[in-house]
Amino acid sequence: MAATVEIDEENGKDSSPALTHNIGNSNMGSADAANLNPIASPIAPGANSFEKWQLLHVVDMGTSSKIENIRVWRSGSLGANAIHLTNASISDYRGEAKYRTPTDDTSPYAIFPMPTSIPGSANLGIGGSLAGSLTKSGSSDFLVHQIQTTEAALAGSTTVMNYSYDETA
Amino acid sequence: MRTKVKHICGQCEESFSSELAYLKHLCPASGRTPRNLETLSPKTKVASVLEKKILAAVQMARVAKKQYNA
Ligand SMILES: [Zn+2]
Repeated sequence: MAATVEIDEENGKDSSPALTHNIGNSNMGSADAANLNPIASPIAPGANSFEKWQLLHVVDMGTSSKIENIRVWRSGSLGANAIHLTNASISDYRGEAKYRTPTDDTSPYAIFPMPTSIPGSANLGIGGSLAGSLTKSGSSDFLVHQIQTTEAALAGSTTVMNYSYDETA
Repeated sequence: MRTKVKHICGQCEESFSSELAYLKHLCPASGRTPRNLETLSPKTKVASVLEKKILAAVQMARVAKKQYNA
């Protein structure tokens, strides 16, 4: 049987964080919250969303022996005047980002454009390395991402985050 | 390590003091325990069929921005 995997999101102060398991969505907005309501917490034009700090969490390996090669991308276009940045990168990955309180200031972690199609190789690490793997339950490095807008940004685009990994039986 | 983390189920919103407690709860929203392979959610069933390259799709990265003249 295949491994059981969920996407988790960490929120709150780094001194007392909360980890929400198996999030239902990755709504981006003006609040540091999992499963946030984008109507109640919209991004003002010219502002950034709060960073998202998310993990791919293998809760059970099933009969698999190894999980590796995590690739993250977005499908669907943002509106004009908005960009989506991340720490994920196939070529310039900077290692494991240690959790700290999410901010809507310009993220020092989310600095690369979020891929809009599946990357050719891993862009999110395990244990700090793109070549890392999990052989028992555990989590990837944090995926940090943020939407940044200009004053000309308009309301409302909906896209999908995708996560892919290789699983060895 | 990161011992102070509070754990929350993203499906039923219940809070837990440990990851193990989360993993053991029978979730009223999903109808399964998080690592219970006997009663997979439909999404996970789809994933298990794909085997090698499983897409764990997190539904919406929704981007909502205020109408700037609103
Ligand atoms: Zn639950």
